[in-house]
Amino acid sequence: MKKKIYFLISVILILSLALTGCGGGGADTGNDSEGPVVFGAIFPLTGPNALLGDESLRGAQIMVDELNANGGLWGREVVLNVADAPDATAAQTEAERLITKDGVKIMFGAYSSAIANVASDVCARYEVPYFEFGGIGTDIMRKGYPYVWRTCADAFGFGTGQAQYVTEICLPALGIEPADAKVVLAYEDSLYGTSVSEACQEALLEFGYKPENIKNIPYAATSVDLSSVILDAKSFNPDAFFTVSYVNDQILLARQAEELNFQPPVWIGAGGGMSMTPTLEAVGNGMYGLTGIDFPQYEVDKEKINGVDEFVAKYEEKYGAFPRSGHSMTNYAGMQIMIDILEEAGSMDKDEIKAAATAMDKPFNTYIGGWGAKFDETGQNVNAPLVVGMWTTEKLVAVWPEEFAITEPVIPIPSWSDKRAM
Amino acid sequence: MYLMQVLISGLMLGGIYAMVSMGLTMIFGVVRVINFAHGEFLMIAMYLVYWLNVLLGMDPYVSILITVPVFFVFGVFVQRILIQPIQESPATIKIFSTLGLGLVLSNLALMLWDADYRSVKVSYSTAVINISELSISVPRLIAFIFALLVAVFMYSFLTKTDLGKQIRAVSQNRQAALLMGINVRKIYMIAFGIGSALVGLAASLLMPMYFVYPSIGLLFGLIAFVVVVLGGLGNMYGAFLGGLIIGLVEAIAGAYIDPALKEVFYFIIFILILLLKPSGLISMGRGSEEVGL
Amino acid sequence: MTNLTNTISKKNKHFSMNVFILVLAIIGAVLPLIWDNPYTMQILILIFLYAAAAGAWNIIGGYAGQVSLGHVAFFGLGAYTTALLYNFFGISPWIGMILGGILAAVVAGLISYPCFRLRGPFFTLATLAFAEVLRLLSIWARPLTGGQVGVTILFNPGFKNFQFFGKTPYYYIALILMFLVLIVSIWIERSKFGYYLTALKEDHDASEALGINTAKYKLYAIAISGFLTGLCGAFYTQLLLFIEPLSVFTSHLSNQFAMIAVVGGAGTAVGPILGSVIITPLNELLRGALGGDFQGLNFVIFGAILILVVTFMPNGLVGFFKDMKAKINHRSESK
Repeated sequence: MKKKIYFLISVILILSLALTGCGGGGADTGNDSEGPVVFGAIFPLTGPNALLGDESLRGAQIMVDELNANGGLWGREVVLNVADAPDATAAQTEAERLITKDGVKIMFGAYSSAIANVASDVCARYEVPYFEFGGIGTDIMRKGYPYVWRTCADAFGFGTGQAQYVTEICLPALGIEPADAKVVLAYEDSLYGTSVSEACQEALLEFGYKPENIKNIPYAATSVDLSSVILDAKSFNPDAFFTVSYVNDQILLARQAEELNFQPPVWIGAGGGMSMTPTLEAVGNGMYGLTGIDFPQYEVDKEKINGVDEFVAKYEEKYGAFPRSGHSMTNYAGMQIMIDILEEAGSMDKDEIKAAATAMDKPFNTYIGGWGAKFDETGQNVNAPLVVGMWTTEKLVAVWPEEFAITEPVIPIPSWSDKRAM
Repeated sequence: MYLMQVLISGLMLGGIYAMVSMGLTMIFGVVRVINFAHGEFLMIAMYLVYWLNVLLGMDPYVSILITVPVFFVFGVFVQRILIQPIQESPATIKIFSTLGLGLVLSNLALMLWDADYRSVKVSYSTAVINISELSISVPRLIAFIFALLVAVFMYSFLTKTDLGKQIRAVSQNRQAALLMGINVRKIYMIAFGIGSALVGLAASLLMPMYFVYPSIGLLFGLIAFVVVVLGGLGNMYGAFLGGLIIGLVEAIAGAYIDPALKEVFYFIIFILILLLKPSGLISMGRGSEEVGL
Repeated sequence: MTNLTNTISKKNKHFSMNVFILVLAIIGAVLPLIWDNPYTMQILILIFLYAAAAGAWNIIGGYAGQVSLGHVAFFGLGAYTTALLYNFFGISPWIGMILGGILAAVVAGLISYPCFRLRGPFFTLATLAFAEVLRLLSIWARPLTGGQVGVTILFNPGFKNFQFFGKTPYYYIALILMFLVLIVSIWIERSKFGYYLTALKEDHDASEALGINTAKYKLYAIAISGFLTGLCGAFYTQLLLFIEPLSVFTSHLSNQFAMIAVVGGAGTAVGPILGSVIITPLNELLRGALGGDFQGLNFVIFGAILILVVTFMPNGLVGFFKDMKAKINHRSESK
């Protein structure tokens, strides 16, 4: 009697395992010399990073459409095998699937540094070239993998850029020396916030700021309330307020700063929520004067920087709305660079790709948005641009560096009440 | 001055927590179900407020007229369809049922409305009242006042009206209530309905100052549990006070100790209460926590 | 006469179960020879890992009936112990795994002991709170744990490092882990210890009145449960070579361990395995197949299954089959 139960259970087990064995759809396997060129694309499309993961993927998809409209790569159609990786475990499974089940020969991603970490690991083990277009965690490139490249700037660049902008532009405008300046670094405590602010702090110390004048306030991005961060910062009375946050915490910070009447003369964010349209929508005029360093966004000097308006037009045509953030353009640029490398290499062979990538030496503004391409020995693109943008009441406009700037920054930032009256 | 501001911020935050938790205390206290989907109820209600605003231009405070009745019905529905069939099962089964419900709701929201953050644009979202150097956020003050009013109203309702007394009877001793001829099933549905309606109210009050996305339920849900246990099951005033206390603890810990640890503090308080006085600060029924529900 | 029959039927009962386990083991050992695709093996590894963790949860949550929703705390402790001991001191993860399990067991005992006074949902809430505190602390203790950034382990394959090329070694280790939990569960089921656990699950007060030291047995149960869960966490570290609070201290995992056990059949040795075999591939495959278009559908289905199972099959799938068999036998007997 009991035997039959176990028999039944065994049947179920076996059927489920069979499901596993045959599971997944049949996808195109990237063949080396004929048929479509298949890229693995791994992004978080569900879960907490879904919004920007999706936005990133869109940039790549626009590029793919464009390529195919112009004959494809090496005369072959380009196809994306998209994998959703909402967390690290999924990233490993999906990367494995793409490589071992679907035979993908090149992969890119991932927006989230944690996903990038894991995906690049898997790729390294199978010696599949991996390109990171948007994740900025410094660790990713420090593991010594020979076939990993990052086209965008990293957290080190973000943090250093923040410090540079404040020191070169803001302090002189306020008439303060670095040795006398007081700053607060408030950052969400994940990989993103921590790595950027660490780099920022290092740079600040190098520029001559005094350690006792630098206050660190980490916080959890998922907090429901950030008034303690604001109060802490306010009591320190900083000349410059550095933040690194995602969208919801950026909105909270701005709103609660307004409620508690904390308006530092300089407020600079780093990517994430500071550059995104939803932030402006939620906070409104309060965003005026707030700045953020990020990948190039859409209001830059169009005389000097190429391709931006065309990209926006393509985006609007395909998705029916203005880009939600600069990530799409960043991934588009990354894709441009990767395709360029591939065309140089002439094939998907990893060593030819490596040779082509190493030889790359394209100056600033070769590609869209100001991008250039030159990779250092870890695979990091040193010609990846970073731009400080400032919010007007309607949009984010570039203010630094000069090549991108279309207006002067407003220093100090007007009071909250003045801004509301605008 | 700094301390004053911290305290005020803490109280205002506490008002929000109280508002979110009062519905849960009703459900937990009367129906004896840990509604693990409580946070998700709030999330769905907030989406409702959002869509009413976007599609019909309805101000969040006006939407109270809609969210409260809609969620009352929703609560009755959930109790009848989901909980009633397993009412007699061990509490653990009920936990998993509501856990499953929470999963379904948050991912349905993800499927339908994706992960974008939605907020309503109202002119008063950052309005403040300034008293010398202190700032009090207006939407938070409104939430605080509502929370207080709800506590008072619910207390009167539970002590002075017939229906309220029936609810309290069921909460205190189900068997006796049955013997007294009270339709316990109906009371459960009403209690769940009221609990959910309060969540609907909370959502309308929250939208002017927050934004909604599918996983926001997780945050508020957990806090609601802490508040409810702190205040004592089924006790409205307890939930109100509990909310204030948690808000204050969070604010003070954040300002004076370490912002990274502020949540740790209220969890530790939570654990201490569970260990030392599980019936809460102001308990209503007997110490059912030690006897099992 | 009755005694004899009882003894014989007891032996039979064990016999068929033993055979079943043997068969399962053989299938498990042989599968990689048929399906050697790394992706399939990855899914199987995850199935075994979740089955093991759910099985570990089952010891305190199923057999003893104390529903914990904070088991991820033990998972995370095992994961971090292994990772940090290796990164800081070069200690082999094999040892780290054991140490991690022990740490988890100790912590399990420490935090549960005061909480065992609480019944039902209150105990559950306490476990939830503890797990959350641990998660927050792991973020706060940045110098030690790397904070939210997590811990990365460089790829350096070798048996001593518990790192391997290819999936097969991981597969077998996961399989062994799952069987370890299975055997422990069966041992508990057949022992007096298990008997006491069932007693205190069914009626706590009556058991105490009968002189059963419920506190002691619950403590043993949760210590064993914590140890085994810690082992699973350590394995996870070696599989991914990257851990962060978001992955190894998240309440989602606590829920998942419990839900898998419940769907399969809490309080049975095979239930967690059955649950994992059904839920894990469902999750992975649905996400892979639907991914971008229907984000979240896999969890909607998971949640719906949970609600349905809990409402109509409270003893999980195993219980369902036993009932079915009993009904069929009853009908055939009464003919």
